[in-house]
Order: sequence, then structure tokens, then C-alpha cells
Amino acid sequence: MALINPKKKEVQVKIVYYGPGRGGKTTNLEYINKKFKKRIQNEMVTVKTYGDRTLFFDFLPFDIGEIKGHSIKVQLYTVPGQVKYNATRRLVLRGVDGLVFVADSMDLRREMNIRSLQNLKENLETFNKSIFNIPLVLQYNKRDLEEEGIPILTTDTLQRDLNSRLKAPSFAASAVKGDNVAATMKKIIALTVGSLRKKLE
Amino acid sequence: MTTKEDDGSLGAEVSSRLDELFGDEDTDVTPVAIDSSEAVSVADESKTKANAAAKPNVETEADNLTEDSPIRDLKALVFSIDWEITDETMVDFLNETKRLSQRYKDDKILSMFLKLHESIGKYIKAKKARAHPDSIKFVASVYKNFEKVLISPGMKENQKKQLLTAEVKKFKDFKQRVLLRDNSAAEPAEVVKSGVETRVAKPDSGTGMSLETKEAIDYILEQVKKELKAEFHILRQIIKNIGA
Repeated sequence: MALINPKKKEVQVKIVYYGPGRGGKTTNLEYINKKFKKRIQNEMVTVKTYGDRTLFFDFLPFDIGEIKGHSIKVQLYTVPGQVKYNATRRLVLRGVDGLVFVADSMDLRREMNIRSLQNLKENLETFNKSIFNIPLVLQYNKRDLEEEGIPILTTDTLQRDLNSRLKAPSFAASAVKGDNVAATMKKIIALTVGSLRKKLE
Repeated sequence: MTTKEDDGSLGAEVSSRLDELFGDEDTDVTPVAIDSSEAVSVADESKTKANAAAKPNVETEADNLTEDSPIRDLKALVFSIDWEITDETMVDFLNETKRLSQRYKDDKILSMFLKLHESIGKYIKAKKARAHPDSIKFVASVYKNFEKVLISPGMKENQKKQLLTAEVKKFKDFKQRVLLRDNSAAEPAEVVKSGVETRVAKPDSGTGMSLETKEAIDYILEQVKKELKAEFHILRQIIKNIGA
């Protein structure tokens, strides 16, 4: 639930990047942080332990200015992908307003994508939220691997596996290259702020 | 599904603001078209079979495996372990290692690689989610070089041995880290803020190596010792034969 401060006319929106481990959630945030550093004017915070694995979460806050007389503050989070950190994932999901599901396009990650999406659905249910009713964008990441001759799932397959019932907006992307990273973020922010329409009016 | 559509003036206002902020990016955005012809549950298990081999991702760099590659299943299991450590996965992993050990029993280097797989597999199976965080990295590394040796027919024996030696060294280093962790404390969490790392939490110190850990390490050590001994024995025989 977005935090709305009527006195200050301020809205805080929480968006979580979810998906299987090593799928590129952190890379998405890192790209945004690096590419738009001047405009974001905030620092990305990463809480991790070993090497490159996110064991707790990443956090990137920024302001998008005034909309309908309210100052909108966006907070982007990632969750750790591995199953064993489900407690942390649930914790990060608390109070989520919008979600980006970052699927890994690699052939061999097909089952993990599906399991992770199912895990998201279940974790949302623990907060009495439905995956079908929350602002959601799917991102099919690592499309760049195809150029290297690495077998990847077609977007049709990913759509069938993950999005045939959800029918959420989806983007083929490469977080490493930055392709569609900003588009994914813009879409989820637009959807999430849009879902607050009644509260803002 | 209204939440999934940005509508009206608010949507336009937000989009316009976002374009101002992030406007020079992704101008040729092409969202994926939704194919709703086939209704599949997000949890549809029938769709969950990841049945094709893929070129390894960033942590592995060897060439693609062919469809009928004998190590395809092992590779899939290495990826599975990265996602979730379950008894089922670990049993499959160890069975696959065993199967491949039988297949490559006449190749000492491949056998050694598989022994390393087996040793670390048994450790992970014993510790599960409490396994050292570097365990998965080590499995990926051992697998990567195993695959490299296997699918590079032109690779010289020396090169193969170098790769194996490097993995054995990594294993020893890993073992040290496991001992250190179990003897002192779980790895503290760190906060990285714009590249600056700061320790923020330190879990309670352990009281020493648990029996379970010690047994697992002892087992791994024993296995590696056995294999090294056998390898040295073979090398001695070869040297002896050359001398004769």
C-alpha cells in the first residue's frame, strides 16, 4: 500500500523487482542508477554478503516530481532470487505497490521462471494480495544472449509460460545492455501511480 | 485488470513526467505482444520441464552442448542447485555424478573432476541451505572446467591437468573458508552504498564446527586424499615405465 501523506501532499510508491536468482534484477537497478544518476540524485543501496549475490535486497529511491499536486517518491527494490531466502523476499514484498517480474530468457531457466512466479503469487497471497490485481510488468531479460549463439526461450514461449493468464505488459530486454530497462521501469511506475488514481483525486 | 492499464489524464501526466526524466532512453520500445491463445496457469507444472540444454550463462563460458550430450542433465542440475537446494535435486545430482563416473572411469582426469562434483555435492546435501555461500560458485566452477575438458578433444593433457589442479586448489581454499566460517561466525552482511562497503551486522559467533560440518569436511577430505593417492600411484607407474 502506497504511503500517502495528505498534509505534505506526498506519495511514496514501492516497486519490487522479483524473479529467479541471477535473472538480472540487480542489473536492472544498477543500470538505472548509472544511466540516470544525474536525474535520480540518490544513491543505490545494496545489502549483500557474498560476491555478486543479493542476499537481502537492493534499494534505489528517487523522486519523479509532482503529479496531481502530489510529490511522488518512487522506491525500487530487488529481492534475493534463491529459494532459501524466501523469508527475506516476503519481507521486501510487504507494502509493495507494483511489481516487475524479471524472467531469465535462458533455455535452462525455464522451470525456475515458472517456479519463481508461482512463489511470487504465493508470497503475495500471504499479504492478501492477488498477482492478478497488482500492477505488474514482465521483463524477459537476457535477450542479448541470442547474439552470442546461446539458446534462449522465445518470447512466445515465455508469454505462454508466464503471461497467458496475467496478460501483463511485457518487454524483451537486456539489462546488461540497458535495452528496455528504462521502458520497463517507466511502465511499472505509470501503472502503479495510475492505480492510485482514486486516492490522488 | 484495471491496475494493469494506465488510463486517462493521470496516466498521460505520469508518462509525460517519466519521459522528461528518462526520456532519451528506449525510444524504440517494443513491448512483447500478448498471445492469449493458450491459457496456462502461472503454476502449470506441465509447462515446467526445462528440457533443453543451454550454453552456460555468465559463470560458465564453454561451448554449447549438443542435444545428445551425456552431461546435459548434469548441467541442468548444476543450474537447479543454484536456484534451490532440495534433497531431490541433490540426489539427482549425486546419481548423475555416479552415472558419469562409471561412464568415464577410464579417464582419470574426468574421474577426478567427477569426484570433486561428488564431494561438494555430498557436502551441500548434508548442509542444504546452510551450506557455505561459495558452495554453489564452486560447483559451477568445477562443472565449467569439467565441461571444458570433456568437449575439447584437442586439449592437451597438460592443459587438462592444469584445469584439474586449479579446481583441486579451489576446493582446498573453499574447505578453509568453510572451516573459518564454522569456527568464527557466519559471514556478516554488508551494505554497499555507491560502491562503498560497510559492515552492518554480524551474526552471533558460532561455538565451533558442528559435528555435521566436521563429518562432511572429513568425508570430502578423505575422498580427495584417496583420489590424489590413486592419481600419484598412476603417475609413479607411468614414470617407472618410462624409466624402464
